[in-house]
Amino acid sequence: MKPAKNIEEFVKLEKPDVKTGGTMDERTLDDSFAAMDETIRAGRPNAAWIILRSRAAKLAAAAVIIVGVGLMMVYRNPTVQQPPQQTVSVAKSPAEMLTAMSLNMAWRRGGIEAMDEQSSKAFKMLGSKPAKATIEELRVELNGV
Amino acid sequence: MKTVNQKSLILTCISVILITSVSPAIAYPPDNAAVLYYKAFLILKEPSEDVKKMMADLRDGKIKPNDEIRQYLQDNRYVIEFVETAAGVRDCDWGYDISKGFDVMLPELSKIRMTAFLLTAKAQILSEEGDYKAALGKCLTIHRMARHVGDRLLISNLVGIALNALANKHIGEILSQVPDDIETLTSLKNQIYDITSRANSLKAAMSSEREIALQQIRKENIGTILDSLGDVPDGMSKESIEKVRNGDEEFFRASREYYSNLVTSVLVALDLPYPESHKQLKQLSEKAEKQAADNPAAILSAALWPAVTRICTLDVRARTHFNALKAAIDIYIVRAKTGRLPDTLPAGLPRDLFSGKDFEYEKTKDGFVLSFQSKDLDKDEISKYEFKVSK
Repeated sequence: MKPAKNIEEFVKLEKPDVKTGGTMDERTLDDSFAAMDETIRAGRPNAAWIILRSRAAKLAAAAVIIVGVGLMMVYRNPTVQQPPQQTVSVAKSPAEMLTAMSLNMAWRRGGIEAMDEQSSKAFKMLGSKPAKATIEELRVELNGV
Repeated sequence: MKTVNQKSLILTCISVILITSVSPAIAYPPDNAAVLYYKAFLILKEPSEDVKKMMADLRDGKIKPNDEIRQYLQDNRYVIEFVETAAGVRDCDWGYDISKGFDVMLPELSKIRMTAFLLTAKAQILSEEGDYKAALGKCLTIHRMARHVGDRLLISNLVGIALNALANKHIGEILSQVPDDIETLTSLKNQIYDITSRANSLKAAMSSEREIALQQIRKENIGTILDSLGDVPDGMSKESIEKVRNGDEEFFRASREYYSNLVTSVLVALDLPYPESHKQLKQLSEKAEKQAADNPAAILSAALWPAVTRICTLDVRARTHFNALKAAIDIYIVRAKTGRLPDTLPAGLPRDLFSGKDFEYEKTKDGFVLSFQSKDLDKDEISKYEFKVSK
């Protein structure tokens, strides 16, 4: 995809997050014009000043600023990607994930690795367990008691 | 009379001494291997993601054993000790409550695979150190664990098959490094024959699965069935789900009968040679799927019935792998005795179960190859096992 097309697609995709209304559009446009007028009044003789003297050029520049503000808003508040809704899946408890039925289905989905993965998730959900094995090590853990 | 009483007293005393000398309180190991496995699982240290990947790479032969892997094995030394003792115990009862149907819990399956991965890593390290006998011992432990996983359920049977495949792959790799040592090879051969003589049976697993399924196919369990089937892409259509949800007692009775008859046909098909067996199993599965459209009693069988052709192929593949290993050990023994590989396959060796014929034997630059003479019909390809010889 060409860069221009990229931006177009990006704006199109992210558009729903930029909420604008008539009032906001007018205010943004007015602010943009005010900022430009101030620049012109300051009498800084640069290329931008020359271009911005025409009303059409002012409008074009204002449009650029609006898009810029929009992009900034998008970047500051990135859209949270929603996972695609495929099937309605009911959350299972770790014990339910370790039943014969559930492991059978995991195997049907992705073989023995899928079964391993599902069991591993279940055990992670179940939490910790003793890390030490010997009575000696347990004594050390219990400060010699 | 007095003498008789004295004799009785002495006999009683001797009996008491004998009974207390073998008191269960001091008997170790226990007569149920599952007790030791559960102990091992309690203290099993899970690997970090990095170590997990390293262990997988080591199994695949992509890396050599490194410090992290050695440390991970050291952390789990007691686990290895427990599972090795457990594997040596004859009986193993996991405490399944089969009356729960498919709701029976199987937390041990993935743990036993993790401990098997510890053993293969240990075997690879031992093999690198030149202790081939001990390395082969670790792999044989995995085979004994596979037998303990059992054939009460189909999924247990599949895990057992996976463990056998894992162990056989590593035995093949270790054999390629073993110098000509007739004693080690003969001992391995005897143990492999012993293991296969007591191997789990797919037919037993299928029969047991039928009992469990018949417990499950009941109106009161239908919520669990529908929940679980929702997780698989080839589950059930909305229309079928409605039919099952609204099924009365007669619907479930007819469903159980259909399932039971289907399993009976499958058990008959499993006795046939592989190509015919595969064909019949495929037809049976397709028939159940087709009938589910018109016959409500077939709906649950079509949905719950596992990919039986694939399972049959995995079973044949596992048994063929064992046969290839047995044949290979005999070839290694010939080499150990004569100093060179035989030019043709020695007579009377175990066969390729896909075709029912002898393996095709071919000498290569590094060793030899044993090939199937027919195809794995699920993958539609001819496979082979490569064995190398030590220089």
